[in-house]
Amino acid sequence: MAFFLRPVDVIRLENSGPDSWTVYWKRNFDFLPGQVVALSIFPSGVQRLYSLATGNHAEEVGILFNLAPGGALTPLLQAVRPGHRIYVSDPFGSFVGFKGPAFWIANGTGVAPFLSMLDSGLIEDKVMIHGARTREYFLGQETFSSLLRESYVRCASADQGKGLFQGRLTTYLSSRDWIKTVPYYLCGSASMIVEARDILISRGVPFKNILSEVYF
Amino acid sequence: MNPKTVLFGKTLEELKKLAEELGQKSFVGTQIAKGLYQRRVSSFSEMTDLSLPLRQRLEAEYELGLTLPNKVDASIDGTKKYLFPAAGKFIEAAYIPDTDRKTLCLSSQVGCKMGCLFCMTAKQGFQANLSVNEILNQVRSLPEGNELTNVVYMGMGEPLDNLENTLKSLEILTADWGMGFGVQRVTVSSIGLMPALETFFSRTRVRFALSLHNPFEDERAQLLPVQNVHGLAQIIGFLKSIQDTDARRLSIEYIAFAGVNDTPRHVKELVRLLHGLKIRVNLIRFHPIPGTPLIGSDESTLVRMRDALSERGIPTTIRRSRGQDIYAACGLLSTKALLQNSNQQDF
Repeated sequence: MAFFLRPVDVIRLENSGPDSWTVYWKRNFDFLPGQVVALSIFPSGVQRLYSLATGNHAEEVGILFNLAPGGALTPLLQAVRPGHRIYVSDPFGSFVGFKGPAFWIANGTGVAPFLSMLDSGLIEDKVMIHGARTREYFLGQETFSSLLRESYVRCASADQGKGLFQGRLTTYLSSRDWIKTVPYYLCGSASMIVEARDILISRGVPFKNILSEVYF
Repeated sequence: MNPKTVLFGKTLEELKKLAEELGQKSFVGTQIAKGLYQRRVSSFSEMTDLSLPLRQRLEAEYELGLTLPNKVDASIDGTKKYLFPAAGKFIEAAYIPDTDRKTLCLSSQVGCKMGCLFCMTAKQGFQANLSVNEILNQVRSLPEGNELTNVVYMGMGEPLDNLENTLKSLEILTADWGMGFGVQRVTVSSIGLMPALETFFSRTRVRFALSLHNPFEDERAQLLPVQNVHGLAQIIGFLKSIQDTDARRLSIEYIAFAGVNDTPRHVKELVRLLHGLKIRVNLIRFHPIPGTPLIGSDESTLVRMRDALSERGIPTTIRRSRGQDIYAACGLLSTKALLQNSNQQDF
């Protein structure tokens, strides 16, 4: 049993960072930025959920994935080429962006929904706080930097240099006061989400203003 | 030297295949299964229904794979919390004796990915899926294992996020050739991952408990992040769609939080949501965890909720807390303190 998938043809595969790739196909549905799709290489093969990483008006849609050596899906996905057929569900999910102020907090491929939100025009009053080990692991940093400018913060746990906060994302969150009345969107690993959420709550942010999406 | 292959945790099909690979008839696999799961042997030499050469070969090339707990904490109410080594780390399992039943609450993962706001296990993040062997070892190597009447998959981890190993463990746990627990004695609790839930219902007959905790989708997402992807309407819709052909008992787990999910508005929505579903509700007292913004509902509110739901045709009980003094109660299991610093992730 599984999600119902439709065939789509791969347009291109882009290297998005160390061990990270984005696969694109022609947009075959409408969606809200932040939604996910189930994807498989085969009509009835292993399925995984991925956030769409592109704007909801773009002609092409794509998902960002980390290559998991030995994994059931991503080694095959990383090997697809233009014209290859993959299988994708309709979009779904309620981790969606809106106009108005919001803080976005992400690590790893958890940036994907925020790339989609940005590419869908949700730029104003957004602050992105991004955690990674070293500078090459900030997936999508060119897009975030160019659109959010000084509202884009990179927290590098094992790197230093111009434009980087030297320390973990959670250290950055702990070192500041946070507005209590705006929504906080958290997306990434379970550990990051739980730690970041605890810090925000300890700094007075109501848990009702924190929306999270854990990457499996 | 290659590590020996572990046999405890293999299904009958796998054991029959193994027997054939060893040049035996496939029924030898059934004999091995009965030794492992019914006679509960602690060495291959006790499998006296096998030939001596086969026993010697098993001894040389295989191992049972049983692991005793390292530590036990005992509660004043009789509950015991056992610490088992698993997946290179540690897991906890709670043994809960009562007058008429002896229940084991076992773990299916080291840590958990679900990130639920009210759960201590969530605070350690996710470290590993448990193997079938590691799931069932909690039953087999429990000192009180012979006394167990019930097994619940409600410890650390989300069972449906470790689907194949959970399903295999359930097969072994409930099979006639296996550990022989009646399907009505085994309950799997889940926050409801789709489509894994469909697979679970198609391949098992054990009882199911849905961790619901709020009937409003947007409010549930504040407590359980997974709601953003696996929506309640879809889960409840699925449960309603199968109840005509699937008679197993369904229940709802509902931790009551003061002012968050315990108001008349929530009761009304819960009744609406569950309408047409033959299901019971377990109201659970919240056991506070460090840094939580949540407060448990008071006793009078719990009673009011129970009565309101019962009056509307939904059988509802308030679950008695057990093992709270040893952090074995619902939502308190965690082995975070035992993790090495190297597990800290880069973010």
